[in-house]
Amino acid sequence: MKSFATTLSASIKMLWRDRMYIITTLGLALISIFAFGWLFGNSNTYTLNMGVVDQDNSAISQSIVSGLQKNTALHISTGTFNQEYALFQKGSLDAMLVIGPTFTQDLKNSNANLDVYYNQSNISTLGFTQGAVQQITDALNQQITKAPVPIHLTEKAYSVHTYSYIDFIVPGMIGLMLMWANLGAGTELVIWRQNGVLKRLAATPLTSITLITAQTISRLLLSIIQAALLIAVGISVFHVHNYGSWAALTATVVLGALTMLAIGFIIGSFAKNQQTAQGISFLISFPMMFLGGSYFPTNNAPTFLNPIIQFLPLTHINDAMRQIMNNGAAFSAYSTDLAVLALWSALGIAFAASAFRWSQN
Amino acid sequence: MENQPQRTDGVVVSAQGLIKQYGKFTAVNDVSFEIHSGEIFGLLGPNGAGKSTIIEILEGIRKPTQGTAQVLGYNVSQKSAKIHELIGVQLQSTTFFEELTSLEILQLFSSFYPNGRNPRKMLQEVFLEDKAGTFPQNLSGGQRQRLALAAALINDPALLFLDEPTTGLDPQSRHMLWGIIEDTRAKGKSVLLTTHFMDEAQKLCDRIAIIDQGKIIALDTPARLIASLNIAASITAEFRCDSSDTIQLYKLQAIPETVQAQKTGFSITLQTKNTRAAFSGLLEYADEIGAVIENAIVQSPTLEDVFLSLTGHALRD
Repeated sequence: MKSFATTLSASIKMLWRDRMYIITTLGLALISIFAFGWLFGNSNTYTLNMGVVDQDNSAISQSIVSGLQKNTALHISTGTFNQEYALFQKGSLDAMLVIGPTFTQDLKNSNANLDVYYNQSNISTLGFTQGAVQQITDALNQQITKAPVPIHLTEKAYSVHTYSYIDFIVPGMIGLMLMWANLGAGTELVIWRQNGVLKRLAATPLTSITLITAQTISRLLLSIIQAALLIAVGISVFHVHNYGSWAALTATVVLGALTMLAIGFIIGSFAKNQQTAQGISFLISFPMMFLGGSYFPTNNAPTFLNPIIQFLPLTHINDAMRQIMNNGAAFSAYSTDLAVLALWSALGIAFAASAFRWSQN
Repeated sequence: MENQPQRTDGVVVSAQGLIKQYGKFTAVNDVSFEIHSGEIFGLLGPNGAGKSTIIEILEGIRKPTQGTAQVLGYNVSQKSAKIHELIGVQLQSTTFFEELTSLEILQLFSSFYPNGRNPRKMLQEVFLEDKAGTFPQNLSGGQRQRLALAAALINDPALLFLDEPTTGLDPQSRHMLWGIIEDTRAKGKSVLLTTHFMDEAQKLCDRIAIIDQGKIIALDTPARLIASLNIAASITAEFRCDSSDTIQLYKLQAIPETVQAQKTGFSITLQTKNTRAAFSGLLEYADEIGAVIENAIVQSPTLEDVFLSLTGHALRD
């Protein structure tokens, strides 16, 4: 289609010429990465101090403890519950893992539990601690369910990537940038409607679907480039790793950007003028900025906030990106996040398409 | 042929009983008219008369509350997509994308149409070839209007809609635009334009519908509209005397052969069937009240006088 190709190329040109927009959205994320990268250090990778209490003292529990001790990213101290708990209370431990006295017995009944205590006072390490412990227990569980007894615990079961706060921040800032850059698409639509550009287009054979699709694709391309730039900075300056697949990461960026675009288009369909559109965008983005888990983990938020946190698309963008980049997790670990984002995108775009208006009246 | 106007026996626009209401306000009140192939048809009226609403209903970008309209043989409320391929549109104060150059804007518009014309050639036609790389906000008002006209002509439309095409333009740009509009008619196209300028309507239009408060109050050729006034001239003059109160309007109206008289301060306007009778009457009256007549201007009647006599108020109130 000639008209689609030309509209898309016009859309890309317009976006590219809007330097202010590209620089501010990218700049905010970059500033955060540099600020947090330097504040919390980049060269010293973080070692997790974990206390392990083995009350079972069986062959299985001992092999778990010795496996954990071999991991270089973990610093393990062992002792009785009271000894370790005292250390934990002093703040010397980031986490405490308790293998209960009936662990082996429970395992035989396929109902074994490990108790984990987190130190919640240090937000810069909390995200990492939770991620690491989660991965250890996940690996154990997987092994346990596959072959209940005897359990052969391999090195791999304990592999935790070395991790620092910057590893947490980079995916969070990509999520934030996707939000800032794409919510603005709605404001652009409102400006075009206000100044009559859309009214003039309404008198041509151009369809709203062609226009919106071109706008969507050009902004997705920009989002991919901006995300790639942030990751490049993270990798080259702060030695951040992507332990997962690049394809999965790209898919997350695309779905995340699509979700934010859809929300932007909905705002654009309803807002009467530029100020309203910007106001609504701000009202939506501000709580998401903090509750979406970009700067600090939200796993330990008060229960009443949980439904809100889970409702926010940014939460799912950040979660999926961290699962992929930090943990190199399997698809099942973030498939729900991607499904939520896909649902947001589909519903949002369908809604925005039906509410699209060329002129004010 | 898919992309041809329907056979319409020489009628390109047919509006029947158009009504547009915004809440309790009736912007367009039962408007019906036809535009014939190859003519420039004008909607003339003051600001807020409903001209833009009528033209936007016919362009298929506004829905009438009641009534129907056929444009090039297609019903506007059913086949607006078809109509959009065949018409050219210039809105009142067209805005374009700020981040695209003149040439890029025309390339974009050209791509919308199966018969989109060469954008560079269009720039030449509206004398903007040296502004190809300029962004619209850096063009002058006249240049922007010409760019809008180029976008309106890019699909070689059978029917061109122009909403207040010369409002806010300098005289040179107006004449340039008039030339382009006349060239369009010369190529066999039809034009519907709205304006509140009498001279523009009189010079360009083959037929005119005069609109006031959402209604058509007269519809004919400019010459016949003026002839229907049955006046020979409109005389404007200034009386020099001590007080404007000494000038009595009823005395002016009593001058033989007078159709209508008006007084604003020391300035008077007389529409007369006989210029000689009006002048001798005016001089007699001036002597009578001891005044001197200055700056007397005799004008052939214009559409302005038509509007005045039809509505009792001037066009640009």
